[in-house]
Formats: sequence, structure tokens, C-alpha cells
Amino acid sequence: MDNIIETENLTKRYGGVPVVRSVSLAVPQGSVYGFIGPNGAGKSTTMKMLLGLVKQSGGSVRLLGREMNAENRLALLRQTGSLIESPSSYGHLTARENLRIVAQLKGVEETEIERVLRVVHLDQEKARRVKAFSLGMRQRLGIAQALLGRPRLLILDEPTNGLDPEGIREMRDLIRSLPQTAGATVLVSSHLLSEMELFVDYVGIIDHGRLLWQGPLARLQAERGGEVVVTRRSKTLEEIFLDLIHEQGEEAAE
Amino acid sequence: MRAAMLAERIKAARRHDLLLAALTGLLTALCAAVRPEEDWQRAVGYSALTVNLSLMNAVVMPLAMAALASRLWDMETRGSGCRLLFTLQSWESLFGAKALRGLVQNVVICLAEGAVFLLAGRMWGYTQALEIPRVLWLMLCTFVVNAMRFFALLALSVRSGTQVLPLAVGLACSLLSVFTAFMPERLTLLTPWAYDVPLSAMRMHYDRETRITAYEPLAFPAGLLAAAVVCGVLGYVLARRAVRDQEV
Ligand SMILES: Nc1ncnc2c1ncn2[C@@H]1O[C@H](COP(=O)(O)OP(=O)(O)OP(=O)(O)O)[C@@H](O)[C@H]1O
Ligand SMILES: [Mg+2]
Repeated sequence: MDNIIETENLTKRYGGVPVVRSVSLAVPQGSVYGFIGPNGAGKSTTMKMLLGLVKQSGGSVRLLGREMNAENRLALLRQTGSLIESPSSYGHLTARENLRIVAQLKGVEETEIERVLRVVHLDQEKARRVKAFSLGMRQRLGIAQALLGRPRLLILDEPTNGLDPEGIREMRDLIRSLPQTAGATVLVSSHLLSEMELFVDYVGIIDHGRLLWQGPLARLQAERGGEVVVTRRSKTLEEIFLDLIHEQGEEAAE
Repeated sequence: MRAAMLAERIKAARRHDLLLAALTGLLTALCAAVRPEEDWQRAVGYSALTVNLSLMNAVVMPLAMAALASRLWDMETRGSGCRLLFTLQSWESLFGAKALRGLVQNVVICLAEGAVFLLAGRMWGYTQALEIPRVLWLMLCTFVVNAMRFFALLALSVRSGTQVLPLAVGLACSLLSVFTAFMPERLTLLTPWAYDVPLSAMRMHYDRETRITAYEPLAFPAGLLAAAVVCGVLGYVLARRAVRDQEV
């Protein structure tokens, strides 16, 4: 399978301090890739570098099979949808107007707007100003912006932020369905590891800017899963994750 | 760039930008236009309007441009717009669209002020002949100095990420402009945001005994206008860099 995102030794330093260190991601086409790591691990920074929002201090990014540079960046991103940290929106505009801005800049038909509004269940609220939206509604609007134009690649940074349990389940179902229904690949980051386990098929674990492990979720569970001694059930992703970052911490201490 | 302009137009929905610009120009110029009570006042109506309006502009426009610049940028700060926009458009096209919207509103302000010359003359029966080139010169100078103020304050809005700083600086410049009217001419060259007064090409002489004010038309100070253009270009560069350096 081809990789839709490939980075080589991607590095970011802020004022000399490395926050992403030599990360070589490989996100296979048609997969849902879960990018997990504790607070401050470098998930958002890595995603921003993939989108060219932050300039890398070293390394390279290949998106959709092409080396990304200043010239082809916007053309590549035209086939990409993203939601980084909190959604971007204009409070004085309605949901529909916010989407029209993105449609205009992406060169997407306005009929697409109605479709994505239905996908995120905002079609009843489309004429309301966004400043009156709840956090979860804004998050849905952010997803709708990312989905406009049926992108081949979605980069979603903690898309379940602010959603209620029902909303989280819908988001999970939506993300899981995207490879089949839209032929899209999804790179998604989250803290909710127990959630992630339910809908990703690849994982990348990052801590202190280092990619500790990446590969199919099934292999992670097979390699590192084992059994939890007390309850005799197999380890959850959360437990594997905590093991991995603790090992890393011990190595660093030695 | 077309898409960027159209996107900017959607963002301007229900903000009444052009109406506000027209009102700013109209009200400023109408406040500057004295209603003549005596014949000698009618005979110098346009000259008096020129002098008064240049001072009014120096006082009102720094604040008006601060409001214009921060209104244009504040929506991006509040909604963290750049994080999304910079994946869809180049920073150049975002800056270009903002700059163009600001300049168009500035043109509307200048046109509204120019219209007051025609209006005041008719309403109050000025007997002085209207010198169209002088009105156009004043409009041109107001446009250039406003563009300088707009870009400098836009740079400040983008860099500071708040509305407070550009508005405070605009207000401070407005207040300082009042004093420039009483400064020796050479000193006013140090206050480019208040170039309206030395650029007006009209000097006022007040005779204490007769209590009559006389006006002396001067040659157009092309050199000073060139200096204002240079300051405007500097402001443009600063604002452009501020948008380029915008962290997301
Ligand atoms: N503009 C910046 N200047 C300096 N340091 C930064 C900047 N942005 C991020 N960092 C640092 O980089 C590190 C990684 O941040 P990042 O936002 O990528 O983490 P994250 O994995 O997304 O965390 P979270 O789960 O909390 O969102 C953090 O230590 C953060 O303090
Ligand atoms: Mg983050």
C-alpha cells in the first residue's frame, strides 16, 4: 500500500529547544491513522508542519506522493482537509457563510455546503451566527470545513474536543466510514486512547517529540499487548501506551 | 486573488463597512465646514473649509484608521482564522485582500469629503469660486496620509493580536495632532500622521483688529506628498511583514 503521508526526520525546534525530533511518519493510503501522545508531545506541531503552517527546522514532508514545497503546497492542500487545535470560524457570520468562505477559497461548488452541513448535523443551524454556537457545534463546523470538497486526506487534531458522548460516537463512526465512503485517508490525533482503539487501524505513538512506535494497531496489540496479570484480559491501547512512554522515560533517565 | 477578495466580501457581511466609511468622511467634513454668517466668510468659504478639514482629518483620521484596521484584522484574531486560511490561500493573497478592502474604504472616505465641498457651497451660498484642483489635491493627500496611518495601524493590529493597542495608538496620535496645529511648520514634519495640515496648501492669517481671517493659497507641496508616500510604503511593508510572520 502507498503512503499518503511520509515524513523523513521531521524536526522542529523553538528557540533551539527541539519539540519534534526526527519523526518519520508513514500513513498508508485508505487508513485511519491514530496519532497519540501525552500533552505537549508534539502532535499539533507535527500536524502543522504537514500542512506547512509551521516551517520545519529539518527533514521533509511528502504528501499525496509528492515532496511538499512552497510552490506545490497550496495545490496539495486543496486535496486535504484539516482541523488543527480549535476550529477557525467567524463569530459574526452564520455557519453557512463560514463554509462559503472555505468553498470560495477551495474552489468548491456551493452545493457541497449543504452536503457537509448534513454530514455534521448542522443543517438545522446553518442560518445561525457562529458566536451563539456551543463548543461542540463549533467543532462540528470545523469538521464540515475540513470535509468540503471531498478531500483525499484529512488531518484532524483532537476532533472530538468538546463533543458530548453522542457526538463522540457520531464522529467516530464518521471517521471510520471515510475511507470507504469518500476514499479518504484520515490522520487523527486524540487523548482518548480508549476511543481511538475503536476506530483506528494504524497508530503512531509520540512522546517528547519522538515517534516511539508506529504500525498497524493489530500488530501493536500482538507485540506489546500481553495480558494484564490481575484481570487476565488483554492490555488496552491506553495501557500499552503508558508502558511505552514509561520505558522511554526510564531509558532517558539512565 | 479573486477568490481571496470574494472571501473577504463574505466576511464583511452585515458590517456596513462602506456606509461607515461614507459617514466618517461626511461627518468629518461637515463639522469642518463653517456655516458663514457674513459676506466675507462666504467669500472665503472653500479656503476656510480646506484649512479646517485638514486639521479635522489630522485629528479624526488616526482614530478612524485604527478602527478600520483593527476591525479588518480582529475577526482573524478572534476566530483564529489564519490557521485555516493559510491552508487555503497564500499569506500574500490574504494580506492583499485586506489591504485592498482598507484602501477602498479609504477612497470612500475621501470621496465623501470631496462631496461636502460641492454640498457646502450650495447649501450655504459660498461666493468664492471653487477650485477643483485644490479639492482633488486635498482628497489625494488625505488618501495618501490615511493609507500611511492604515497600514501602520494594521501592522500593529496583526503584531499585537488585540484591538486595544492600535486603538490606543490611534487615539494618542489623534490627540497629538491637535498640538501640531500650533507647532512651527518645521516641527510638523516630524509628525507624519498629521501631515494633513502642512499638505493642505492653504495658510490662514487672522487679523486681531478687524477680526477677519484671510486665507493664502500656497503652491502644492509635492515634496511633502512624496515623503508621505514613502511613509505609506513603509507602513505597507510593515503590515505585509506582520501578516507574513503571523504564527498559527
Ligand atoms: N509557538 C511555540 N513556541 C514555543 N514552543 C512551542 C510553540 N508551539 C508549541 N510549542 C511547544 O512544543 C511542544 C509540543 O506542543 P504541541 O502543541 O505540538 O503538543 P501536543 O502534542 O499537540 O499537545 P496537546 O495534546 O496538549 O495538544 C510543547 O512543549 C509546546 O510548549
Ligand atoms: Mg495539540
